[in-house]
Amino acid sequence: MNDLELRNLEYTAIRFSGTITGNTVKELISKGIISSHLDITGEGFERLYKDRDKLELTSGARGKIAEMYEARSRIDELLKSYIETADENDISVISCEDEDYPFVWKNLTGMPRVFFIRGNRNLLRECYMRGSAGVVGSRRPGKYALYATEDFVKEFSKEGIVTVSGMALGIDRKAHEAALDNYGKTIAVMAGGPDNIYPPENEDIYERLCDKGLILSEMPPGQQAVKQYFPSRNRLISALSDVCLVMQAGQFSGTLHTASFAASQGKDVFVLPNNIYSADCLGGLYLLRDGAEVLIDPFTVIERIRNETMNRKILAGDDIDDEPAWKRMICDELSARPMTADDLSAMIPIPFSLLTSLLTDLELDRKIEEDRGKYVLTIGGH
Amino acid sequence: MKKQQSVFKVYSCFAEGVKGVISEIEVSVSPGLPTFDIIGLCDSSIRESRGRIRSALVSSGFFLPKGHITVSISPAYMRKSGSAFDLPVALGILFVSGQLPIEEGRKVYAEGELSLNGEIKGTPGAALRLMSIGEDMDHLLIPGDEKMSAGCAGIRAQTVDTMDDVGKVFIEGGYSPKSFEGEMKIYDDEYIDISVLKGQEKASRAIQISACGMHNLLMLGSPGCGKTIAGKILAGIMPQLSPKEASQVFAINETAGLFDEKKGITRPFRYIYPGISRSQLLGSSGNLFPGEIAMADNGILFADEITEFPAGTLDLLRLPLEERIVRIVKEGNTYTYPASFIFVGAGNPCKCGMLYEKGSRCVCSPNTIKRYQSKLAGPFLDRIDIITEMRSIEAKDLEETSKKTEGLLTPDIRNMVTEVREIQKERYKDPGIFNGTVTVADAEVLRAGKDVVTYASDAAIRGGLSARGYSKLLRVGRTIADMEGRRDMTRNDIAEAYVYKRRL
Repeated sequence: MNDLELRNLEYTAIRFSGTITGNTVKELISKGIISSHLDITGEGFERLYKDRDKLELTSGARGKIAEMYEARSRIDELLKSYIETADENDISVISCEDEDYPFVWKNLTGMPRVFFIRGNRNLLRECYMRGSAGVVGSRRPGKYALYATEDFVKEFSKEGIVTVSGMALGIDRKAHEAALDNYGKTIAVMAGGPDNIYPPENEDIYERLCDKGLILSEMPPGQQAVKQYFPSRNRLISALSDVCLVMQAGQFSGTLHTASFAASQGKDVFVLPNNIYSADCLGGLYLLRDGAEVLIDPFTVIERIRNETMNRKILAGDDIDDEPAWKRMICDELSARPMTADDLSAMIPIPFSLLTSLLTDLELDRKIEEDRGKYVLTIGGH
Repeated sequence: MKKQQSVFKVYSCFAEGVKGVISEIEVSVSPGLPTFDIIGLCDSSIRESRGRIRSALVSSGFFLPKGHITVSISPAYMRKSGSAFDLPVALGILFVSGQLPIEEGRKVYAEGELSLNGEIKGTPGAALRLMSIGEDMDHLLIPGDEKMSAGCAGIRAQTVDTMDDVGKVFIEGGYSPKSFEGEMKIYDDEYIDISVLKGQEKASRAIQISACGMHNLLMLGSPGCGKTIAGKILAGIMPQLSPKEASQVFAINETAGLFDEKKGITRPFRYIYPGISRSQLLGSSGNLFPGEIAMADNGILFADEITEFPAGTLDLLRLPLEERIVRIVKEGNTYTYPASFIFVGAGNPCKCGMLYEKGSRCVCSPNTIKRYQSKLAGPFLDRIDIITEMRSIEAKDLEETSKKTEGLLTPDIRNMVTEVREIQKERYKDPGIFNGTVTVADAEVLRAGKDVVTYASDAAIRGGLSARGYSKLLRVGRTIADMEGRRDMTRNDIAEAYVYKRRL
């Protein structure tokens, strides 16, 4: 664990000591007192307390800072347990100042400044560059919804789209399972800490996710999942996804939270049309009535996601001369499935002549090869 | 009236292969019982002209002189056919019998078929014949129907529509030759726009390179993915026919009697199919009728379902592709037709055709695919510079392409192609040589620097290319550099060219 991660852990410990809230940090930053959330840790901790009367702060914030100072020993205790659990479980810390911090979160309010992951951290970048679909639904789904989940996630996996869900029983479990079974990419957002396996029945999936996927949580290491954490976990699922797919939802289902978060974050919500005679499906049907999109085939969704990612690629690839970046992007695309030059041209926003010369370079470097008219990654290119 | 001559010469011409041969027509009238003979290896179409001439003269107020009329058409050792000799024979008779005045030593050229009531009609092959007339003729008479041919040949002539017109020309001195350059109607505004290839960038780029550098092209893709359309688009992005090209195109079409006046002169797009016979392809040696290869000169020869062609038929194409001419041998004589065209082959990549489609829709086993593709033999593929796969675009994309929101792209691309061809003209100092047809790929002429040559040879070695494949890399790379307006070739040009290499 490096210094930066340690300081972020300290920040988390301060936040979870029950003293300073997210709003206090926001106030400090917006008033220019601190420039980064890390400024309340280390030396900043003392300074903030000493200067608190000189600073132009609301009385609430001033009180919180005093509380924070007094809670030092508790903070240290928390920090120690965090470090221990994190080290034990191979947990990494990501903050909003990291490269891997989800780009879209910077434009959303209420996103955690620091979160914790376990598994393949590259998926965070993939999530942005290749697009992602949140797949959520009931914990006691019907066969039909389960079948559809498997079918859709399989298609997403083929396209390299990241499947995001919550590792709950039912639909969530199926979504992760289908992605892992099809060599796809998947992220589970947990309600408790990243080491907290909840529900325990899903331990097998959890292990597979640590190995091939990614576990993500805004809760510190060691934190147990508590009932009230679930809605805020749901907001992260929708925030990580480009579209939100509701496979089945009862009338009072938590899935509906995810859908409404998605809608308020400006993401498209698709709902699988389900049985109107089953009360377990009414929530989804009401969403449809309220204007959610009908989920009929995966390709509409894939197309929607691709439109999003295309724009991102154009932004990311501002510099047309950055050939290594484009080559990486080509290999990224090919990691999902073999493609013809035409297919690649539809995915990568560069002139066709440049694309072809990059393809040749990659081919001569033995990174990719041509097999039956389509380009594939060689073993060395993976 | 002038002194009556007993023999008079009129000039005309007949087509032999793609050449016109000037012939002298001598007419003599001598006293005796009335006879009318035409000699000089003439076929029945010429011998029958006697009946047409007799009737045409009488119905126009002339008469057939009494006595032995002998007409000799030279060169006497060559077989001749066609009804275009009607008018010159009739003229000869009129001159020799003193019915029309002519100054001694005047050379008269005439051609045209007579109808029984004295009208004069054009005959096929006029363009070829008129092209071979020298400049030493004093009078040039052609049927009104052959204006376009005259324009094509660039000659000045007098048109005559009836025997009465002929009378006016010589009796009233009304010979006033005109130029017909304005008669050539070159049409090029009917094309399929290249924007329909949206989503099929590789094919789109391939046909542009092909058009710019006259590179032969092979497109492999599923049935219905738009290969034929791509071929037609290629015809559309080629530069407008130059007057010289137009006259060549016109001449061969007109000779074959295939010219459609309503359509005007368009860039040839000849479509051949697996069942085509040898004589349809190369031309028939019996009547020297040009085959599809000759008809494709200055245009495109499009071979559909190329993987279904019998190997023998593909072999017939090899020599014309190499030499850019096609030969027909008739009775020991070789007749050469120019055949400079872009060869475009289109076919399925495998037995089921789905090899390049999205997902894995192909049901062929690797062995079946290999066997299927091996139908395109090595030596034939060697003559193809650009090979591209093509996959069908999805229905949704189709919808988009049919909207045509972007406007037409073909005019701009055609301008680009025209410019690139100008560059090549300057490079090779010969309007007939292009990057795709130049025989030696000389690094200096192609302006490939040392590093570019190294890169190309490196790519050739790693890609398992033959020496010919290497020279193709350089030549296609040169065309790409020309398209981008680069004086010197770069590594990227070679890299792009490599994508179109042979992968079968």
